[in-house]
Amino acid sequence: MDETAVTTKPDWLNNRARVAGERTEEFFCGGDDEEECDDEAWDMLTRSFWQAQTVLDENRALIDEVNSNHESKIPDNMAKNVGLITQIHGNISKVRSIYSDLSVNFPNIIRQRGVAAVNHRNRDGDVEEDEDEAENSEENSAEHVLDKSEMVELMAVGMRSTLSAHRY
Amino acid sequence: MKRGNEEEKSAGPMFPRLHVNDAEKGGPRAPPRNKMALYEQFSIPSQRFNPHLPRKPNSSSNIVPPPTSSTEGNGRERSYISRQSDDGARSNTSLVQLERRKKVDDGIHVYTCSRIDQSNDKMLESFNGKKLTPFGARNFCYSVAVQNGGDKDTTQFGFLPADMRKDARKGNEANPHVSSSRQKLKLSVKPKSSGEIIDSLVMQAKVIPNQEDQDYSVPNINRLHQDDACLQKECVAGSQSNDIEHGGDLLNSTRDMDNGNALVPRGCFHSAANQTHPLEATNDAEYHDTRTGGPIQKGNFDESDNISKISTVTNLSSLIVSPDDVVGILGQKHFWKARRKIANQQSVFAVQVFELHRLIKVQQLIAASPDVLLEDGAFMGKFPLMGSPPKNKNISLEVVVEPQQQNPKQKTILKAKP
Repeated sequence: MDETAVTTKPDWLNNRARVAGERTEEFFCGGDDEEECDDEAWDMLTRSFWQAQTVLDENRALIDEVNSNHESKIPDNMAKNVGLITQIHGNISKVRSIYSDLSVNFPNIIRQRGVAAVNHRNRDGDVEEDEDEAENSEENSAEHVLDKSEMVELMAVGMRSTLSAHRY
Repeated sequence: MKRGNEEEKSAGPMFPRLHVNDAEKGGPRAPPRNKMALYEQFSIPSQRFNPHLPRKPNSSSNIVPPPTSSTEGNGRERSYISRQSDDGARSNTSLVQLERRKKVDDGIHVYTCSRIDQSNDKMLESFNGKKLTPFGARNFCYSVAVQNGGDKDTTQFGFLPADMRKDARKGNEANPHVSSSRQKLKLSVKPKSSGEIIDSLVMQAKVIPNQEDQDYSVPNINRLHQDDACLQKECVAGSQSNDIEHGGDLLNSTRDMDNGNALVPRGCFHSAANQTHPLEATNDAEYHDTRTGGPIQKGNFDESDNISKISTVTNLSSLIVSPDDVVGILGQKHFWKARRKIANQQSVFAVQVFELHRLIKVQQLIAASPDVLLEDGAFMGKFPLMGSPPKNKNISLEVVVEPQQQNPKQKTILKAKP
């Protein structure tokens, strides 16, 4: 369930946000209150992005190391790969938890700004266009495919990691 | 002396109600009620002392009346005269005939009292067998209850609550004055014919078993039975009220009023002896029921409001989270930066998951294939060829048997290098 929350909510927000952004280009305007809200929400986003990027970069290094060990065909290195693969699995779980926390905390901040949001909505128009819908559908399909593959791979990874740990 | 004590005890609670009645109707009518009650109370213990000879003690009591005999005698004569007039023999009769009829009536009443003392079943038989007016029966029942307060609490409990509730309900049914309703009952009793009297007796006979059931059953069931009893009595009252129209004489009305007044203190006495302020208690109970009803409804209303509020809150929360709100909070530039960053990290994440999947497969395949390990052993073997052969063999065996052990291999490598 957590994985589903991680993968679906951000996409939904991104898709609608993109549409909203295009519509609001003409009517956009900033204020003191928005700047304050902007700082808090933006700090949350940037912190989460930094954490996730750090973990992903570490994972990339570990993956390269495991690949090199496989190519060397040295028994000692092969044994070390077991620990490295376990670390990679843990890092992927970290990224997952970072995004799940973000999907929970970010909407809460938006709810706290309910009054400002309502006012902003009143300013903007809710008219929808066919072109926007088409673009949304394309993006939705692409990201949806990624989401499914990620989920399946995560499940497979979990199963195999347990098997490998048991063997070694 | 005991009788005197009882009178003194009863006088206390009776006083305020008598005062109320006096205020409503007038001063001079109070004394006859008290004297009637006292006379009947005195008459009963003589029966107890001589159960085998019921009639003779009555005659003795008549011969030797209490000090207020003149007023009591007048009261009885009035009641008998009213009955004769009701029967249709509206003519002056001699005193001798009056005395004879008095004796006969007294005997009948005493007999009914004795039966009541023995058991309820015989009481029912007496009701069915003999033609007795409910007025007389009620009087003796109440008096018996007074005398046997300690012995038969159940009978008291059985009789009184029904009457009190009956009066209360009549008051609720657009009859503000309870005494007026009682007067109507008394008026309706006497004009009846013999057939009607029998019907009324049958109704009473039916009513009594309900009271008995009330005594022995669960309090909730008691309430139900009492309600049934009250309904039956109300039916009787209705029939009696219809009869009132037929007999509307002023003399009868005045005498019946006197009789009603005489009954009132007895009822009050029983209610006071058993329960304090039963009417008020019933009214308070009804009022309490209404109070309890109100808060319950309010509670339900509040709960429904809470549920609706919660649903609205959830709707608002779902509505609030929208792209427009995000743009409003972050601003357009930061919004697009965040979106690109999320998309980038998502793609990198997907690639790494795929890589992890691939690496696990490769690791498993290499672990499953011993050929690769043997090749590694051969590679290691080249260096020892320069050295001693038996050491080489030992190393290769260790690799094959326990591939996980790696430290001894490293040691051998270090030794080989120098």
